[in-house]
Amino acid sequence: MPPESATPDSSAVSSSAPAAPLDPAFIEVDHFNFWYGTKHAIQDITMEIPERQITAFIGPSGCGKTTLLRNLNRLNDLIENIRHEGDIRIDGQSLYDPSSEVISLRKRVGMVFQKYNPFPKTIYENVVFSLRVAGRNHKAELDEVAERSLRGAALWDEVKDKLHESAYGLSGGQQQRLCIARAIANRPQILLMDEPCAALDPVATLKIEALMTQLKEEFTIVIVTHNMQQAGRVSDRTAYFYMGRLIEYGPTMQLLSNPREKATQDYVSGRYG
Amino acid sequence: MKRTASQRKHTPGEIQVWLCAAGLACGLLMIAGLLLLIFGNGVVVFWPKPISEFTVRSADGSESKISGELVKTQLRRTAEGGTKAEIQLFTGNKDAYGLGFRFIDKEAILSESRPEGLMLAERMEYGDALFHPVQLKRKDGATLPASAPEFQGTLQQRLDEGNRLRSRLLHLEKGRIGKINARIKAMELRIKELLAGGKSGTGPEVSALRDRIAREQKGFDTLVAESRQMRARLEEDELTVRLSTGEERTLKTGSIVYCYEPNRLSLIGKLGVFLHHVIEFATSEPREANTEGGIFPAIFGTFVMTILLALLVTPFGVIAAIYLREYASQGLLVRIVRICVNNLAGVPSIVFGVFGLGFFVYGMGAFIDGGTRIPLPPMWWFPVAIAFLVCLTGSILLAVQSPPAGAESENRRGFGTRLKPIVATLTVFLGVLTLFQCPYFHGFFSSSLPTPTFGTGGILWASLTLALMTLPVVIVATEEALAAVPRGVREAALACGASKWQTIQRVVLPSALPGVMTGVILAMARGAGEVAPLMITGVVKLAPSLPLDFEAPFIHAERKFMHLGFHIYDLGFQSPDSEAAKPMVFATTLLLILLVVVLNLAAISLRAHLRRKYQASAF
Repeated sequence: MPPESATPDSSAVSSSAPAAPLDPAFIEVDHFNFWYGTKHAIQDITMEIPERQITAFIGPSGCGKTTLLRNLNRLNDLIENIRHEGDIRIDGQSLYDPSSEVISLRKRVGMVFQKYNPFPKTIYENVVFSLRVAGRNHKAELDEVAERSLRGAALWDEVKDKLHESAYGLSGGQQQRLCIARAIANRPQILLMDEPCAALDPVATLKIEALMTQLKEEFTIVIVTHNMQQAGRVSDRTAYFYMGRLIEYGPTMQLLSNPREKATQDYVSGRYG
Repeated sequence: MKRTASQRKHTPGEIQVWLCAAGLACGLLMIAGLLLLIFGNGVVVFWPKPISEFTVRSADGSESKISGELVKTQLRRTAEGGTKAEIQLFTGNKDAYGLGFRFIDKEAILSESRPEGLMLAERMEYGDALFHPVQLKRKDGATLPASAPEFQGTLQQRLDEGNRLRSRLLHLEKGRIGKINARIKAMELRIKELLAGGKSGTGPEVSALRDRIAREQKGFDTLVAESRQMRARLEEDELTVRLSTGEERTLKTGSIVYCYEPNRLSLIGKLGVFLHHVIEFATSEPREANTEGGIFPAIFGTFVMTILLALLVTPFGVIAAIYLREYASQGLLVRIVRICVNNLAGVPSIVFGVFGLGFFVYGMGAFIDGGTRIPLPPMWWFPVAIAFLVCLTGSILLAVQSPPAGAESENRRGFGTRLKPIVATLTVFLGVLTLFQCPYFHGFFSSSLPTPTFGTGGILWASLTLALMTLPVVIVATEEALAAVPRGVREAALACGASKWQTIQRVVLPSALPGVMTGVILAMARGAGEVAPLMITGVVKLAPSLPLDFEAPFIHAERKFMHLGFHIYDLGFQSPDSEAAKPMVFATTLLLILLVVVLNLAAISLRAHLRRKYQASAF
């Protein structure tokens, strides 16, 4: 079977109306502020991200979109001298609640990075990594998860004969899809994507975008992108950030073609700066 | 005349490039010169050189003959202020001439010839002999003149027989007699223990042991008689020879190891002698205060010590580096620790040797042998032991304690996290105190005291000392390698739900392994070539046995050993005949360098393998 996802029809994707979300406020950002040392990187952002849709964060560099994304799985905790105020809730449960634990949070929130970063391991071990660290080592289960995740990432047909070879033998686009397979292996509820196509060529980008529209059937996807066309092609809702503030947030079609704010209008039409 | 920038003859920076190149060239030339010197002198040692016979007029006008191998020609200052050319001659026959070397004025030489019949014999004692063979005399009195056609074959056959006999003798004396000796010694120790334990000297256990000793003694005597007989057989056949000076001497064929006629050898014959020398050098034991024979025990000792050193230094260095780089909060304390580690690399190695002698040999070694000498009185020891147990419990509790829930656990360091290094240090300190001051432990080898077992230099202590010395190299290299692991890979692992330790263990360490290997390679190279600390922690001029052999428990970590680096020092500066030892010094140096190269190549190929396996993606 030829992988259909390899030749996506992008116009069909972008023009489809957003499906009604299951829970319109699956992720709630509630008056959230965030500081790197003294730098106020996120300023009083309040927004609701719906379940099983693709929400795109756009905005110029340094506007806080990646910072907010990395707070959704608390990856910013690694940095020294940080501080936050306000709250973020996923499915009603606060990330900063004393009873919630960061490791179990990260099991619920998968992440794909700007620069593809497979581990120095075989393709198979890359995919099942999150199960291994959770102590799940049954071969049958791992095999099943590996195949399911690689199929989910539209990579199975390309790598099924070399599962036990190094992941570094793959092309850039394949490595990024491998990272997606790795992120969805543990069946998270949310998939965070930080400019997932920034390091890829146009063909690989199209493959990843087609994959995202498939994945939203199952996952709530939040994507950071610099590319307005990409936001238009794949996302259901788009948020425009500027200088740490949320300027405008709404359905993608509306935000890109008919923004309410002057600043958004300037940015999406390329007059920014 | 004015010149604009475009008219300049040189591009700016051109001269600096030349200076850099010149600096590199100087360094390379010096290294190449050193290697060439060692390689040239080291290889030439094994090549058979022609032997000349000189007719020399002595001061009183009489003429005499002397034969030998030309070593060098040099100019000597005379008392009148002029210079005179003289040659240095290796004459051998130390037993006849008293010296193995002689200087002869070039003016005094009347003629030089290279008689084909001149023979060179390598002997068990007194070094080489140079002579014209006269006749072979068997023990029954039958003689065979050197002119007889079958003389060469018969002589060779005699020599082979002697060599076979000697190797059997070695096996008998070192192996079988040695084993009986060890058994008798063990039983004597047991008797001593029994007597010390209050058993009567006439009790059944003691007398049974005494009977067994008597039986072993009988076997011992038989073997000694056998060895004496074999020694006598080595003395049976005699070779009558005539030296160039005209003197006639007899040599026992049993004392000759190898002989050949240097002036009659073809190129292939010379190659054969060369190979024989190389093989003997690498595989046999030294003779005659190490100036003759091979250096196999030194090669083996160096090899075992280096491997042991690598095995000891790697875990310590890697664990320390992981804590320093990954866990410790990067504050003033860690900076100070890092500076200390780096400075440790600059401490003279002899200081490490003295520390090893004091701490490992006299401290730990003596403790293993006979327990502590001045134990804490129980009324002090018990509180210390209890404090240790409390600290241990505390550390275990701190270790299993889950990170403070809710708080930014990996970033905000709670009170418990700050406490960890302090509690760990206290626990280790109290643990060492509890163990080393225990009044109820009397050592594992107390029965053989006052002869020390571990309480004297040995290969384990030498390796530990070198491991300590090379620890900074491994720590620094590992830290660099850990720092070089891309951030993205760590974040990906954490985003997959891995804990910090799982991230380090499963992703960061494999990526850093090639860098860690680089550190271990450097540590091995430095350790293998080190001499000063070894001289006081376990290296000896001549070790009776190897640190690894087929005798249980196979690894004898307490044994003293031989080392190539020390061998060089010993040959060059401690040997009674330094002229005779000079070629051996070069050959040993060459071998030490080869050994280090081989060990490094092995480690480098391992690293290349790891790199292929774990290579970070090129981007």
